[in-house]
Amino acid sequence: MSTRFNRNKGNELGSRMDLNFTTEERSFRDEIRTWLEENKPQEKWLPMDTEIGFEQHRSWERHLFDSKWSVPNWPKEYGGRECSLIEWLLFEEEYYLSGAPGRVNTNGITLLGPTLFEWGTKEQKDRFLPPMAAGDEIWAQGWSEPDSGSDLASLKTVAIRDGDHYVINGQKTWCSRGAWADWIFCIVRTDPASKRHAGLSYLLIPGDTPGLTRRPVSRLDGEPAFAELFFDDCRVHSENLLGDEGAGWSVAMATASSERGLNLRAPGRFLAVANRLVHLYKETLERNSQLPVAIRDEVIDAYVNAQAYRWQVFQKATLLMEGGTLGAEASYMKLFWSELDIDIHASALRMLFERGELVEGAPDVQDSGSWMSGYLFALAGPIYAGTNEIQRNIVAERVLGLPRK
Amino acid sequence: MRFCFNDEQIFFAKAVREMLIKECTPEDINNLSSSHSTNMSSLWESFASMGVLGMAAPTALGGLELSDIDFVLIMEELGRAACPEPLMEHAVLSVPLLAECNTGNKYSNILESAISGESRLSVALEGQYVIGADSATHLLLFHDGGLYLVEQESVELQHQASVDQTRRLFSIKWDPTAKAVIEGNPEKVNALAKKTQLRAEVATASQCIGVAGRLLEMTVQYVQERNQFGKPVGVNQAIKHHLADTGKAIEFARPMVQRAAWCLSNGDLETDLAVHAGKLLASRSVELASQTSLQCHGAIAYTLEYDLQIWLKKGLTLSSSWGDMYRQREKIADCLGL
Repeated sequence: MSTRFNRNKGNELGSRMDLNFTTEERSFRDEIRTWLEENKPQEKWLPMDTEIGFEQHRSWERHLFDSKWSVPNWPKEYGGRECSLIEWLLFEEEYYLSGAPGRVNTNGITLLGPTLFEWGTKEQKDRFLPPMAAGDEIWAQGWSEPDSGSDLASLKTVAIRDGDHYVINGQKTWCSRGAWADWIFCIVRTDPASKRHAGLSYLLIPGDTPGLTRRPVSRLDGEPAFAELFFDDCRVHSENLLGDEGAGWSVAMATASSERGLNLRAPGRFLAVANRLVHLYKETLERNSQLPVAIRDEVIDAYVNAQAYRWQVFQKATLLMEGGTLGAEASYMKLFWSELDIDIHASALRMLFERGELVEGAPDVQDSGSWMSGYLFALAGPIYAGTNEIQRNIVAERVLGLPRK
Repeated sequence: MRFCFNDEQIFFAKAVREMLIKECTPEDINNLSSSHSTNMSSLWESFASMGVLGMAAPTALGGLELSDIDFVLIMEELGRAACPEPLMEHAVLSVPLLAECNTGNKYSNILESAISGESRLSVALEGQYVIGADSATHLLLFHDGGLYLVEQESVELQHQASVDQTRRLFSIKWDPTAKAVIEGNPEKVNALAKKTQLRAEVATASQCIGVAGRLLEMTVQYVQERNQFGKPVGVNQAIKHHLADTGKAIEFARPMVQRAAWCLSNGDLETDLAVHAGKLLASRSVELASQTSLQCHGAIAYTLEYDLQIWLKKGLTLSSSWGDMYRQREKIADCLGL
């Protein structure tokens, strides 16, 4: 897992197992809890996956950055606090519990950020990390193409070297927030004679590059947050090449492992929504004392599974903090959280019964329709960051050792 | 926070694993089933000499005074080996229970011989079958607000045959006498019964994890060896996905069981919830492992002549022992106020 965490913190316990948090960890958690209480916006914003909401959430990123809470686990020189992995996990727990706005630069911070730390030059890190942390430059991930989804290595967008620049032609799709992002990180084919994994490069592309047309596409959850990107002789400076030309696949794998491991979806997100599910159950029971007991059992399973993810990750965190690595087992994480997310939201809809289908604006809607929109978004979970079918293949082959063919 | 085991815990479990590989083979287990003998005495002696029988007993009596977090890995090894001996009942449940009631050293003799292996103890809550009663020398029985210590000879045993022939269950008929009471305070007895229940859930859950892990391991090996249509059956996605899901269930149950053991050892406020959640997940993982392992083996495993049946039966019985998924959900509902 190529993330940046302070590995020197948290070794005071020696070799003893202790599932209590240290004084330092608790005070870190208390500090962010208090800060969020005092600083999170009181008014309700549009979702970040809308054009207006996008800019509102950008302002929140700047606010976080100014208090050094945007990227707490990063080095101080890039706006971080160099917190430990456990502290970062607690930060995520508190963040989701507080109901603070969504992190509009998540693709930048959790995916591109670790990749830059692993593969970027000093110049690139200095150039891109601070504005990323501050929300001044918001990133989108331009990987998939109409003909290249699971089989990403078959991608066809080309980038031909011409002096100091690359000239890009091709198309990307399913790019969340791609129409409004300031920058896009893409994998492109720099050796047109190459096939598949060979000849690919990782390029950082400004959103306003001449020749780049960006068309918003609506998502199933109602947000116009996807984009199609059309590259028509776009010129991008070669200083925006991340890693060596032709090494794009290896660089991309750093991003991919961040996606499916802890970085993209820390347990805090699911703990918070599982807790809300429990409260919804109790509320619904008070309002309507007849609920099928199967729903109660689903609530219990959701709660227990959110805890299971939490403790799995704490155990992996200890392993990582003490020099271990998380390899293909990261695919287990992705399978688990993506399916948990659907289960939690599906239970809520069953609980809400006739009111489950109501959307924001309907007088009787519950929680602004967030259970339905959350359910629809959760349906994408088994698809993005590598489909769950691919993840199962990876687990079977690289963790369990079954033959590829 | 630091969620990993120390070297001593890991080495102890590894030593138990290596001993079980040598002394608790599938052949040994099958012989036990078919021979109608009540126990594997040489295995019991090995447990004794390793200190396992007394792992929870006070050091003053020759025990190791370890607690649940220290033996959770050992319990997983017992599951991995499908160990037939009622080690949990003796070492994890009975010995520390008797030690708790050992005011004035009244039972030190029995405890010392339980540690050396001369005496064999078992325990049952009110209404439960007594496991291993036929090879036990003493029984700890919860009854009507009291805890009794009785000599096995004074109890009438009725064998209740289990599908897992190595699991020896007994209904008992006995005469509760005041003399046999070792703890008569109902509040204290209740607390002891509750502690026994929680310890048993964790230790059983950990055995379930071991059984599930071994089932998965055996299946992964088999589907690489078995060829059909010119290829190992393991290249097929259907097989891969079954086994990936089984691996996932085990991977996410294990830390919860280990956490439950830690909570129990440390008197954590969330112990009850943690224990029931751990058993719930462990039961689910071994049930899934049982289904997928049999299915992925196919007909070859659908016979008593193939070893998978040992683990299938162990998983089937341990999954519901001390509370299946449904009963754990009831208890969790109470904890969460649902």
